[in-house]
Amino acid sequence: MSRAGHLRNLRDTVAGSGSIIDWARVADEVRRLGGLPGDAGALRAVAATLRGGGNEIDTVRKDLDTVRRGKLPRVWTGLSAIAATTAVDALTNRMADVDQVFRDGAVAVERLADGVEQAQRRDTNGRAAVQAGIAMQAQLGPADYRRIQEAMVHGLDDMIGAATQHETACLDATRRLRGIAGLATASKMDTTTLSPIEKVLMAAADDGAGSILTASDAAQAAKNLNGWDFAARMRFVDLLESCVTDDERAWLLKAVGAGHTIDEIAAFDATIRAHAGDAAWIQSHLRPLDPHSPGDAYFRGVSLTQFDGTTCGTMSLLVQHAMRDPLYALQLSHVDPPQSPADEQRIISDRLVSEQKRIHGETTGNPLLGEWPAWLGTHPADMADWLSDHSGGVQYDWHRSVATTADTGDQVMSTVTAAAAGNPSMLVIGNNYPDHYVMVVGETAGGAMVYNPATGRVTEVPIGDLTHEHLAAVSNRDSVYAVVTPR
Amino acid sequence: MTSPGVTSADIPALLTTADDFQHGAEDLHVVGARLGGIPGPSEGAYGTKAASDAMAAFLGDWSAELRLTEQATSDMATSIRAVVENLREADRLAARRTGMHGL
Repeated sequence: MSRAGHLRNLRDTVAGSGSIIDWARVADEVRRLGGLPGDAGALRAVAATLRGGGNEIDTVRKDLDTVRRGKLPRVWTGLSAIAATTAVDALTNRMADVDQVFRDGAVAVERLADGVEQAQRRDTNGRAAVQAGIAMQAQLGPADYRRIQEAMVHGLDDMIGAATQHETACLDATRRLRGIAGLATASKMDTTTLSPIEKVLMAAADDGAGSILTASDAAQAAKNLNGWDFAARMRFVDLLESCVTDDERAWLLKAVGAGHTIDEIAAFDATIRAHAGDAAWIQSHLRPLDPHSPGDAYFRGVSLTQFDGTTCGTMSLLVQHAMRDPLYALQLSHVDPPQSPADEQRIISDRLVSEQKRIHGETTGNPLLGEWPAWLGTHPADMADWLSDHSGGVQYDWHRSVATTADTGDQVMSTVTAAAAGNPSMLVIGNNYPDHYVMVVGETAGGAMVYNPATGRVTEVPIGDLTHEHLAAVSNRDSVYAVVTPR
Repeated sequence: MTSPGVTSADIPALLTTADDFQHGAEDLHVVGARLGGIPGPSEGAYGTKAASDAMAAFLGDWSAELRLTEQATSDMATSIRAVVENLREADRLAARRTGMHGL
């Protein structure tokens, strides 16, 4: 149980009991409870170091930015040749990112220091009020004992407020720091097939709807690439050499992360190459939804909604797969030869329905054979299995929600953390029983981005609301029953 | 490999550029070492284990990112020096040929 919850129980004991013995027991309990953890001074020192680091990186960036660009050669970095001017741009941009990251980190730690300090001060005052209240027993007669009760309740109220403030400050810092950590993608490419500068270039690739590679894509791509034989890796390097843009290279690497072979990736590139310089085409065909923008999600003009009452889980799986795997997204979105816009939308809409049917068939079955019945929708265990088979190597598990809100909050938080790193994760929700899936697809400064397959809408939900199961912004359900997240 | 238009006349400027990259890499190394000196996060300082773990992830991931950026910057210095060596070698070969013509 959280500290605030424990204190609420103690407050209820004092408020509900007329016995000075009960009150004295509570005063003892409060004494044993100790103060709130956290060291504001140490945190401010860390923030100052981060800020100093940011300033120094900014100086390096400015120095490098003045490099003579007029006549720079193409140079070999690792296995491929690259224009030195491109490298200068990539490195100075990355240094600007690192500078900003350290400044954001400093802000997160400073806010934590302020929050912890304020909460500790309030908690100290509250604890003093509780002890002062019980100490009044020596001066008061039994007729005035109500004043002891009032003083203790006030003190406990202060402590409850302090505990809540502390919890909120720590949760906010956790979320911010995890979010920033999730932006580190270049170093996740743990492979010698790509040179450091190539990793920096691909990590920086952004098509206007955010980075193309998530941290999970980058890590998975490196892992998969390391598993290829030499000839396949050389073909991939040649393919990267021939790319028209850095974005195109990043999409190919994302495809490696999704688990495709070099032949499949070469065929994919043959289709997108003609459009590599057309950011709008690439975005509309390869990004089923933008995990950073709230609103109705349309894939090439077709709403991403479930086609019947049993496919909320199925549609979430479909969207998750399309977000992670650009070949799958293209298979759904690309109509060749081109048709009229209305015909293309009809074709894509039909594909989405038939894909839902196919995935629903793969994740449900015949109850007479011990399989989960299709009419009940997708079981979280089957969903976790399907995700594990279609996420380029990332393995998923499901976890039944536990009784206390604090633990459910931790589970829900794990879905947000996973989504921020590029692994969209599921919440099984309902009122009196679990009957719907929504999917956490990303995280912004305003909260978690949650996709609801019933409405086809992405909604930004404050993290505190989500972890306390306040789901009204997303759905008319009020409880989280299970989560499906990476292991 | 080099680019059309880059000649041995550009060598002094290329060496300056290589030095700029090398200095940049060294400066990034110093910043990384300073960040590496931040004490390991603990629940006692950060209030909760989750906040402490998040700080550890932040420091670990971005220290690695900084090292990679440092490596990439250093690689650029090395690669530009390799171009300079190629240009010098090409000049030496051309001079030898010219000398042979003179025989």
